[in-house]
Amino acid sequence: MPSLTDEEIASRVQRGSRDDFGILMERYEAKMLRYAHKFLFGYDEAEDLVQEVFLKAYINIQSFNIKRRFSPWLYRIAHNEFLNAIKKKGKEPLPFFDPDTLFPHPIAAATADSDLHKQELRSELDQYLGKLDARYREPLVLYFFEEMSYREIADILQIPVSTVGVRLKRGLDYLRKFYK
Amino acid sequence: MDNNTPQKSIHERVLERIKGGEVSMHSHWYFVLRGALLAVGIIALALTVFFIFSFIIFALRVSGVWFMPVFGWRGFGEFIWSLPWLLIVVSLVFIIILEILTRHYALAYRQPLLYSALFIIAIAALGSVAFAQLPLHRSFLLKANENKLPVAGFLYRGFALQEQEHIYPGVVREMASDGFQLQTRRQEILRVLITQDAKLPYEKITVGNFVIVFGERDEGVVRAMGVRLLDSETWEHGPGFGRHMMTSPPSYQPFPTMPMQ
Repeated sequence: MPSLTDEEIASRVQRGSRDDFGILMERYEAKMLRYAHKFLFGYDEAEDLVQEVFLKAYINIQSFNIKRRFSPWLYRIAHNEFLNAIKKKGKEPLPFFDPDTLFPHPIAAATADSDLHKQELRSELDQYLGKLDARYREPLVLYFFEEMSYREIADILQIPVSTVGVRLKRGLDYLRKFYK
Repeated sequence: MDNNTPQKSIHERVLERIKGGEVSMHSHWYFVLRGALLAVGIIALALTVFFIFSFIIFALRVSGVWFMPVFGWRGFGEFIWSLPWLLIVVSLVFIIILEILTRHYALAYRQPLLYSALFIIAIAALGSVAFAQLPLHRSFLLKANENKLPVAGFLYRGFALQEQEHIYPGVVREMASDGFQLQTRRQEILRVLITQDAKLPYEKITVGNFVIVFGERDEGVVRAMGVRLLDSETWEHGPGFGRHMMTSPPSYQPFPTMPMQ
């Protein structure tokens, strides 16, 4: 029997199947933990926060549109939860308004050797992620570790697609300063 | 629990809390209602912005300030100075709130802020123009004049009915060699002296013309810096509209008619 898609399982959860929610959590637990550890660099509460993410996902499951992809929806909940944790700790400044979202920016096209390039960058990112601002760290984690597209990252962070490109580029520029 | 008991995974702990009844999902209708409230809020805010924008245009036309930019730099300065800045700031605040509310939708947040802000301003401008076609503001103004407009009456009395310094709309009653006599909507007769530097219309000013005069007043005499002719349609619901129903101020003795040369 072919396995059900995330969206089909979410639909069953919406109809009342709590055990099916367990299947969704099993599929995403490792990803959420990785996302939490990489984004919340230096924060100890990753596991507690991931638990909160899943609880919020269950509480709000009726707001999920089964015609859309489940993954960005869950990551959006995780983004909000992690951002709240950062604000509560007050260790990192989070600007209220980001001027990068104001104007359009041309989006850089992906290069042919981008997969190899991605692998090389991942190892560098692992070392220096903690030195980056949360604003640049998060899109880098979503792009290089969670392998999200620009469009998916834009939906998770609720920013323009062109701003995703700007933040990735700036994050990589800062990263290059550290490992040069 | 001792050290040998394996720790439960996150998903096991969460499932335990769900099955234990500690958390329950919001109903589908909760989100339907929330979405409907957001939509109603956006619509209500948009209509408020249309009302305020169209009121600003209406108030500027009725006060005569709208016509000032044609009188050169001084007229433009008068225009800027007389703008209802408080209302403009309130409109901008509402537009910012509209922008924040609409960013819940993918159509808005996927675009740069500039595009969605310009779109909202364009819709506000179009909506205001459409709103202004309705006789709503005129009827509200008349009600405000009679103190029969409880909520927004202060807006109309404060912005639209207030007489503006240096702006005198009226009807030309008599011509003179150095100007003319102007009868305002409040039946006041003013003597208008046309100075050498005054900006005048291409057409000749004659008795019966509706005009708006920009100038400095001293008692019953206005030294005009500019005069503009108004067509009857503009005059009917334009500068000074509503003032004829107000109690007239003590009227000045009309100056003797100057002989035509």
